[in-house]
Amino acid sequence: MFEVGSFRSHDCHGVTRRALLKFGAGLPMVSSAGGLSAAGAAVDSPAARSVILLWLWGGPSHLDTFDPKPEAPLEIRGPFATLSTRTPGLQVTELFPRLAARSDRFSIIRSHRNHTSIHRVAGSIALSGGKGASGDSDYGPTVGSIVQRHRGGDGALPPFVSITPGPLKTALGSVEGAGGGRWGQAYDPVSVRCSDMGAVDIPSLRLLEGLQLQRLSDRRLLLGLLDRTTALANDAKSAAWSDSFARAYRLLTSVEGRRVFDLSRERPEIRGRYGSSVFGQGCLLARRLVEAEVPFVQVNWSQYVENIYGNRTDFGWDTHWLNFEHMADRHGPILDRAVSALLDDLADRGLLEQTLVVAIGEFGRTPKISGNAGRDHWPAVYSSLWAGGGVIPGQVIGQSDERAYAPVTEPITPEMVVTTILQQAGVDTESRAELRVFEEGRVIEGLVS
Amino acid sequence: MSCCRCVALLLTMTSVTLAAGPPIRLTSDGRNKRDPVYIDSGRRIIYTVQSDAPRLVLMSLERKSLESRRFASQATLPELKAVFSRDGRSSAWLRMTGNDQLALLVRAKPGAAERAIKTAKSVAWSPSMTPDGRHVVFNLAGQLVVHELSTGKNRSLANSGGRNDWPAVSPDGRRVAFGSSRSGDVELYVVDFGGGNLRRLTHRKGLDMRPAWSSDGRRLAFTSVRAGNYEISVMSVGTAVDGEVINVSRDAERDDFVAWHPGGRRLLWVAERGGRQDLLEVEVSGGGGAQRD
Repeated sequence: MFEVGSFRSHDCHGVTRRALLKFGAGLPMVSSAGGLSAAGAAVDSPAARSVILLWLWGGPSHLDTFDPKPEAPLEIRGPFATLSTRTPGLQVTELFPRLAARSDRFSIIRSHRNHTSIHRVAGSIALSGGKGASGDSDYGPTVGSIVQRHRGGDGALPPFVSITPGPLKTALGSVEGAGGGRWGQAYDPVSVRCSDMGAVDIPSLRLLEGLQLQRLSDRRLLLGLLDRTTALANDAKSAAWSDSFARAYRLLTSVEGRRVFDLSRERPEIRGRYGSSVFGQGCLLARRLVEAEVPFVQVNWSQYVENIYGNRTDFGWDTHWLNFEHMADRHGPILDRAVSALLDDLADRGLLEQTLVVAIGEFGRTPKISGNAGRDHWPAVYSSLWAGGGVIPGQVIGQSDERAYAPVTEPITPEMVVTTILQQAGVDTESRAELRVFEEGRVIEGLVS
Repeated sequence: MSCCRCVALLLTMTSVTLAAGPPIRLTSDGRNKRDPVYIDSGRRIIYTVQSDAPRLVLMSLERKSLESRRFASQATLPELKAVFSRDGRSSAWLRMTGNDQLALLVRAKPGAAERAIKTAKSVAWSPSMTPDGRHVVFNLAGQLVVHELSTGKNRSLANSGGRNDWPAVSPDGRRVAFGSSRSGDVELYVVDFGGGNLRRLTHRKGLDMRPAWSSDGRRLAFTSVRAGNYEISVMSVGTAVDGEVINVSRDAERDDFVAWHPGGRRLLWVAERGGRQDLLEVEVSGGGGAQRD
């Protein structure tokens, strides 16, 4: 049962504080008070104690990142030169010098294929590993939600944290398959926002006006918060919010939990390595969370896919326009710096071997440059980066054709991606059968040891 | 390499006439920045910075006091890339107005109404204004277009295979430097304002982009990406023979978005140090550089 200092429960609108907290404890991932660790259920030493999924929302151009085609015609190869890496035969865009210098820490897949070119659908499929049961709805749980259910959690930290500017969206609406799917909201991640300068915010607590992380140690404040929360919990409309709140509140009222989310505790030199960007600081927070043994952390590059979207602009990877401008100005340098820093930091702390890092989007972009000097959607082939957690580094898995239109090796599907992540995270064949997910899923051949 | 060591190189490693002062950091917030330009004879700097809402805002920095404030305080949409005529009275800038909508706006004189330049595409980029404020050159879908403010007419300036971007009108208004990937790699070119006498300036692997003219029109500073590192380089530009490319930043972190002070003796750029981006000003003169590249 959840406890906050020496508080005593008393009736308040028919619900005691203790009852509220029991309500939170009834959630699959929330139980009685515990230490810092989020992992609870017994797991037989999975290859990946934790997973960090770097979600490059919008669909990065494979040609302008990890699968350049320097011999292709100008209208396909684009303006960027390539860099050789420490991996024999692997070249990447010139915008990735840091990644090129540490390619012995990761492997690249160049033969992904998704089933559709619609962001919301492709994103749902990529995150959940399969199509919705009825068109663009009724998706299965995402890979993070499956890991969350498998691992459970009896500690202060939730087992599935999404570091995101907001719920994943496109100009056409929200993404259906971004959380627990048909398992329900109880398996959604706890969402956390991280600013470009490292300020962390938990939207679930937004209703508690005036809340500041540091002030949660003030017991009188906690009393007030709890009273207000109880009132909210009595409102049926707030039930869904309460699920999320209970988890977020629980971790925030843990001293150790609060420390994990406080990036100011990092040395400036470490924070600087990741760069002053939403994605970079999000990667740093992800490292802190896996250090605290959170099983699954998803870092979303942006909330929206669009790279130009008026007041909603947060520079997604959907570069129908300004593909090359944004790659050179923002996306390339930010991704290169943040992912390199994350891999180094995990390795320096001895965490990389037990942390699976995957950087991937929902699809690639058209090989032929459009009349708008951008690249459009291309699900036929795209690339990803994999490191740690049992991945054999320094490899290139799969191959696209000479102009990056299609795989020339067996296509690697979202189902295979999710199955591989699950397998490495300890959700093995037997466990998947128990959960009735990916019972016949295939692990990507040659990628992991 | 630290900025101080960079400047030490300025003093010791070049064989051309050179004077340099210590680099000055003009901002300290560390947020993502881009496109600084001097106005008011160098007394003010206008630049773009990442913000929470709107996502991008134009800032005005008083060079003497280093006080910053919003340049367009009423703006509610992301704005970026402001450019000005020589007298600072005419301006152009970009505004993100919607999904795949990036408007190029102009203001003919202070107090005049802003006006969106009509184009065949919904996204314009990289404006540069002529010194007299009568024209704006910009990138439209990878090709360069000249817009005449008085008539509202557009004409093509550079249209080729690959992409043409980052136009910079020379101080006398007679030439335009720009980057182009027409040869495969992104190199700098210069063309007459009327469209003739195209000439390639750089011949090196890696991105050469974002040229900025010195006030005497004899040198270009630009971003040069070598082995993936963004550096600031300077070269002299003659009528036929161009000078060596000299790296003036020499730092392992990113240096980008360079501008010349109107007096011709200072360079200003966005320097990333320790993962934080701030404006850095370095005094240079004479040959204008540190180390041949």
